Amino acid sequence: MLIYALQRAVATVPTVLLAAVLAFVLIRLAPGDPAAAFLSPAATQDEVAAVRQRLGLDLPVPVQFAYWFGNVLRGDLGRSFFLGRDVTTAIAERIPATLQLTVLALAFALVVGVSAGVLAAVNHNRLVDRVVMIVSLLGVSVPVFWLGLLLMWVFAVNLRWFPTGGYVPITEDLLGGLRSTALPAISLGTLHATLIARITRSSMLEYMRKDFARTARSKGLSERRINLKHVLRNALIPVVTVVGGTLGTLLSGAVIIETVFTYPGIGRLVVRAVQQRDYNLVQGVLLVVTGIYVFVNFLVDVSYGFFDPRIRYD
Amino acid sequence: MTETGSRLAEQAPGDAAKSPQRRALRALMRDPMALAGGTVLVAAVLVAALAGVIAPYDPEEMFVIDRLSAPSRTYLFGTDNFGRDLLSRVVHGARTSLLVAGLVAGAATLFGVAVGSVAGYYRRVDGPLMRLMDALMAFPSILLALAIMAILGRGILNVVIALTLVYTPAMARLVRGAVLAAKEYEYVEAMRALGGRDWRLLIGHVLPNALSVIVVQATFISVYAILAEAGLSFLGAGAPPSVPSWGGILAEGREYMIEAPWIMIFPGLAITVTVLGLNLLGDGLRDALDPSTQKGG
Repeated sequence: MLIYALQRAVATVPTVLLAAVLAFVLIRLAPGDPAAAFLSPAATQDEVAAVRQRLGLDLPVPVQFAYWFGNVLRGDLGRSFFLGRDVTTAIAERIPATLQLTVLALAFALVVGVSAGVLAAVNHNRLVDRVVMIVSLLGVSVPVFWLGLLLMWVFAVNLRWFPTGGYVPITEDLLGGLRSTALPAISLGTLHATLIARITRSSMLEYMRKDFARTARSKGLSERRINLKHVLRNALIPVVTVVGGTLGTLLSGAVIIETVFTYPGIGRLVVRAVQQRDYNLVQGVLLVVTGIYVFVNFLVDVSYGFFDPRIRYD
Repeated sequence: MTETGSRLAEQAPGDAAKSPQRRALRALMRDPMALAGGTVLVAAVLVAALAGVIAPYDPEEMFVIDRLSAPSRTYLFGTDNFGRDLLSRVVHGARTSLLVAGLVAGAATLFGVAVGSVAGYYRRVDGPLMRLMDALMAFPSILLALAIMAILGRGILNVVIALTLVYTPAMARLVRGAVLAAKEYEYVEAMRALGGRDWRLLIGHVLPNALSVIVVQATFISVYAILAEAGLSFLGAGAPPSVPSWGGILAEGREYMIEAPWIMIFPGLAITVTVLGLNLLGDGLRDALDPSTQKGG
């Protein structure tokens, strides 16, 4: 297991390195001189050349990459033109808000998705099952930002149960934090809840027909006990895979949802960076989010053995 | 030798696949959900193609006196903050969405099939190509698309380029897997042993075996492309303001949510119905093309 984890950890290195190269190259492909962004349009050639030299833009691109990557490894992602401060600090300040949003969205998706999937499976081919399947089909078709706008319109604008935007850290005020993040988290988590419901349902149906479930039934165990204690435990293994695969979509969705709810996370930061063409900031966020994504996928990968002891890492 | 080769080719599933394809089409026609999805898609394409005829007004025409009018017989979907007819804008927005969806699905399929085939068929380039695809897939999709749009600037063609780059790796990975599997088939090995040319084998016999997964994946890419285009336009990084797009109208609707909620309701409904149709069709296609899920097939 440990050897497998190490092998997987080593395997992520080229991916992250290549992603870093891509992030670096993408930004270098942008039209215009980044040095000019520091200066007024009236700046002279000499002034631009001086800034180019100060930023190291006069060096060959591979050397620039080596410098940049060296700084990245030291935790320095450069300076944001638009914010006028360190990219690392700006990102670090906004990570807790995005973390609060994505964790709550995932929790919502898991609770609702698994419950709906189990309900549908134990009521296979009945009304409950059909309703769950129809709702789940709608859930994968609704744009996450439209759902956010609808929830905001109903529950924040009309009913006034929740605020229309903003962020309260859950660590400072539990109830306030939950209220501020509830609507964005539900909007973001709905798509994943529907995916989890579908996979839980089909996985439950598969395991309900297995020999061990039949044996438990013949021993006289109640259907409820069999389903919840034996079947669900096995049926949740594919859910772990789905959860791992959906983390990237959660982060993608967070970019849009944070804008809908004026939620001060990384997503909103990157949207503003794109609008301002703040390349250092775009590059930094791209790298950090990708790093988090690869790391979480690595954790999901190595956790399979924990959830299913039959899995052997040879 | 040539005779044996051609006889082998005649027996190859790629060539003799007519009846499974017909069976798949029959299964698709018998699936009411897939039919409903197909109908929605055809309707959406017709709306987009005939936007100029269907739309009651010019989507850019401003009826300032009627700005923020609620849905009525004059303006079925109401008007926006500039007094533009929302129905006309939603109808014209279908053009943007479907054009982007079609082009992205086509381009990502083309590049994905090319990269996946080469990687699956030639072991020497497999590693580097797939590492590149993995690196592209490591970026959350909308974030990568946003970064590319930051570089390229707003525009329909730029959205197509950005989304093609985002969705090509998944197609490449899928095709590579299918090619790797098909390469092991005995008839392919036999044809290689008989000196069959690589590209003829690939196009004539290996890829047709992967056709079903490619078609299904292309359908789902068009779904993701519609959602991503709307998302990019909503964030102000997609279609330019002069081009009506569902995401762009939604972004405007957000500002007027209290006094004119219809501005955000109708484009969202249009996206949902179109995506639902494509999802139903994609699910139906997947079931119809996968023999293991066919009933009584």
